This record gives sequence, structure tokens and C-alpha cells, in this order.
Amino acid sequence: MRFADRFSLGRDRGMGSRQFLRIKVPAGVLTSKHLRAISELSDKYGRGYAEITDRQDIQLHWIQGKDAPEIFAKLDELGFTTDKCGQAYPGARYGDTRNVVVCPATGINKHELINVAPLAKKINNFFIGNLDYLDMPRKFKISITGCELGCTRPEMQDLGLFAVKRGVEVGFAAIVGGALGPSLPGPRLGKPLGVFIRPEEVFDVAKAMVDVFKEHGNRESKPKARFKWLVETWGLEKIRDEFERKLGRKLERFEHGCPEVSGEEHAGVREQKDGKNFICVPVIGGVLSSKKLRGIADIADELGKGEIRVTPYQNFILPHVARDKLDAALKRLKEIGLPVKGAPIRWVIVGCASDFCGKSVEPHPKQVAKRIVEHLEGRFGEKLNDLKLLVHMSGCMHDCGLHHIGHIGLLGVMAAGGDGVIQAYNLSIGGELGAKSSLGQPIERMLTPDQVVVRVENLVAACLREGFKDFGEFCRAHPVDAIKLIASKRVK
Amino acid sequence: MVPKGKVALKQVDKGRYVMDVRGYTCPYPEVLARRALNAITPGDVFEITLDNAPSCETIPAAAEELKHKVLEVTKLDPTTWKIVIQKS
Repeated sequence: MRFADRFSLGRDRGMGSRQFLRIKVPAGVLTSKHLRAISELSDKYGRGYAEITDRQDIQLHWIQGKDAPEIFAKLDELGFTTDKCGQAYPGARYGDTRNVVVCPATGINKHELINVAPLAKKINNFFIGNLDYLDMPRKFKISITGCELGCTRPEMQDLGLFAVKRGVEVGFAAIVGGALGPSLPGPRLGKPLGVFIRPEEVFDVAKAMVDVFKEHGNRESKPKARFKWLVETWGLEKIRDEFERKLGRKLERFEHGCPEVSGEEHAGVREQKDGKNFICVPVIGGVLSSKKLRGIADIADELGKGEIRVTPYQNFILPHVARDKLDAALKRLKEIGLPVKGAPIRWVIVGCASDFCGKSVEPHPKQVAKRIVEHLEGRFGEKLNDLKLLVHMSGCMHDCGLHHIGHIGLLGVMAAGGDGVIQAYNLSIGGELGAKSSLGQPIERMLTPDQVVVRVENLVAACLREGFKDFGEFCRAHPVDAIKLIASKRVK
Repeated sequence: MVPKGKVALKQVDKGRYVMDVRGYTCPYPEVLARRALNAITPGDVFEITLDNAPSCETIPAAAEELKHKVLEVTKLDPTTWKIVIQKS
């Protein structure tokens, strides 16, 4: 079958959609021509809807199997591929490497240590369509960043690479075995591998680590088939030994922590290395229409260099805007319904697509995410501007919305109520990546969406009142029982 | 995974055809089933063996859309299914 090595559809069970198309955007970079073509596909096959995912893919829904060959041919012509969605297989098989997540400002961010786009593309190009790597025990997720903001979340990847400095030398450190879903041994943050990786070694390192997984990952049991199970059961030392055996050499030992996560993800207008500017535009839940995609492409052509980037926080970046064209670009973005304004939380809130998975009913995570942002902005205004706050929402325990690592995490649960099923959310607090990384702790269950908004407002009000600039610090400063009280009881 | 070799529609008896698409994920089992149903004669029976669970929904839906009769959707073992369709 032509295309079977590089293209597939995934299963939907909600919103009347049976199948989705997840287009991998290599290194998060695409052109205006690409975006217009995706917009056309969305119009023709996907009801004019598109969403940016937290792995820098663009996802379309309502895709019919009978149309797939035509869609795949178009994507192939454009140079795109899709995830190979083998996770529906009941056993531990058909796993592939997913889109390599990169810092969306790589190559233009004037604070970065190294441009990682060529490395990400090299890794992607090797694994995509490679028949030797399409039947792994399960999927394998890689990220790489050269920036200072931890925007690629290395601790939740099977292999998270991030740039470090050793003296004057720039290289990479690696974190392994992270994954937040419920498969065994449960949600896990990755562990530092403790080696120094030179840029020219990155591809070999990624390949060797995937080879360890491919050869030794559990093929007997699907719940034990993710790489985190191997890391947990083998331990870091054995993983490193086997990895170095595959690599064919030992790497220098290097003590390192995890990169700090910013609460803003390159938000708003930033000056590039070359003096031009990029604009990171917030898109709550990554939801866009085909019309907006065309509008973005037009603005990129007229006021940038025809380039667009999608980010791991479901936003997009318009790069290469000259200083004297910034106002015009911002005005045009506002005109197409994408204003570049709001609190930092608008850029970093994450919501999954459980509406299409069929794992939630209204209000779905993306809808509640929007409501939370608008409510917080209305209630606290500019006071939010200096607050580091990450709110992540998942519609189910598979945690595609990363609720385990949100300062405020919300997990959707469906419950019997009224005349049928109602949507509720479990609230957790204290999830964090970076030097103080931890998984969030559940504090309250089965909240209605209205209660969720009140709880979040109460928590943010207390955090601001007590003068914290970082919601993670606010969580650490209080016992869980005290946070519970703060969340549930309005304090004046 | 992508199985090696071409997927073949085999005639096993008069008016009865089989196809094995194990190893293929969506949409390929459905695409291949549509092609097979297009190739056989009305009244013929087509049996497809697969290991991609979502296709147990998409293939019967496609068959019904084309007005064919779904005779059977059977789980053969924990990872394998058989769908039998009669072309209308």
C-alpha cells in the first residue's frame, strides 16, 4: 500500500468524527503555502476545523477513510507525513517515533544556546517511514531544545534533550523515561541520564536510545510497553549501560538538573537574533478555523517571510517581522480574530482534544480552558502579568492535556447526573517541571465546571494576595490541606 | 508496521473471497475492503481478517454506506478480528 509507511488516521469517537489526521510539522516550521494547503484540506474534508497539538502537529477531524488516499497524496506532495497511529492495536506492537518536539523559536531566539531545528529534522527524517522502526512495543516521544525556557517539557518525554553549557562548550543533557499516561508504572517524570552530548552526537544518541527501547521494551503486555516501564524496572544505570553499548562508546558523565519552565513560552512580541521580530500568538487549545489558517498565511506573506511556526503550547509564531511592520501585523492579527493580548496564562494553558476522543461531554477541556482564562483576566487584569501559572486540562486519565504537570491540573471525569451524563473535573495542584519538578496532587474530585472556575479564582486570588510571583512556590509554601481550604472557601 | 508484499484478494470458493490485512492501521483496512468489495460480484461474500480494532467500526460503516450486508464481526482472539460482508 502506497503511503502505509508514513501516513495513517487515528480513531475519534466524538463530535460525530470517526477518524482524525495528525499532520507532523517537522521542527514546528511551515510555510504560508503549507498552511493554505492544510486550510483547503480542512475545508474539503474536515469541516473547516483545525487544531494545533502540543507535539507541534496540526490535527484535522471528520476524516473519512475513503478520502484518505487523496489526502495522503496531497500531504506527500507538500512534504508532510502523519503519526502512525498504531495505538489501537490491543497488544504491544506498532509503535512509532512521534514528531520531535522543538523550541518553536529555535534559530531566531536571541537567548538560545544552539539552533536545534537541523538536529530535529535529521532525527525525524531517519525514523519517518523507516520500516525497522514502525513496529516498536509502543510509541516513542523525543524533544530537543536549545532555549532557556524549558518549552519542550523534556521531563515528560521518553527522551528529552536540552542544551547545556559545560564551561564554554555547548552540548546537550538528556532526560529519559518520562510519560504522564496511566500505563505502568503510572505517570512518571523522566530521570537525568547524566551524560554530556555534543551536538554532532545527538542523532546517534537518539537512535541508540530508540534502539534500546525497540530491542528491550516489553512486548508481552501493552500496559508495560512504554519506555518508562523499562527505565523503572531496569534502573538508570542499566539503561545507560545498554544505551552506551548500542552507541558504541561511553559518554562523559555530566551532572545536570532539568531546565526551568517559563510561564510564558516566548509570548507576544520578541526581538530575534537578526534584529527582526517574532510574534507568538495565543490560541487557547490550539483551535483554529480554515479561514484563520488562510488569514495567518496571508499575514505571514505580506508582513513576514511567509513562514509560520506552531508551538508545544498550541500557539503559533509569526517570525521575521520587521520593526516598522509590527503594528500592521498586530492589527491584522486582531482583525482575523487572533489578538496578541492577554495575561501570560493565555499562552500556556493546555487543553486536550477529548471532545473528539469521546472521553468528555460539554463543557470539554478546551471550552473550560477558555472560560478559565477569560474569567481570570476579567477578575485580576494586569495583576496576572507577573504571575507564573500553568493550568493544564485533560479530558481523561491518558493525560494528553498534561494535567499532572500543571500548577493547577484538571482531569475530566464523566458522571451520571441530570438526565444522563455530566462533565466534572478533578482538581490537582503543585505539578511542576524544572528544578523542583513534581507531579500534581489531587485535592478535590467531581467538581462542576462552575466550581472549577471558582476554585481556580480562589487559588489565584490567594497566591496574588500573598505576593507570590510563581504559583508553584505558593503551592510549596502551604500544606495540601490548607490549599484545599483556600480553593474551596472564598477568602476576602 | 507495514507488512511486506502486496495485500491479495484471494478466492477460496465459488463466490467467496478472503483478504488478510493484519499489520495495517487505519485507514488501510477500510480502503482495501472498499477496493475488494468493488472488485467482486453482487452476492459474493468477502471475509477480511485484521488486527486494527477501529476498523471493526469503520469497515461495517463503509459496507452499510455502500448498501452491502454485514454478516459477521467476530473476535477470533485478543488481537484478531474477522468481518464478513455480502456484496449487495
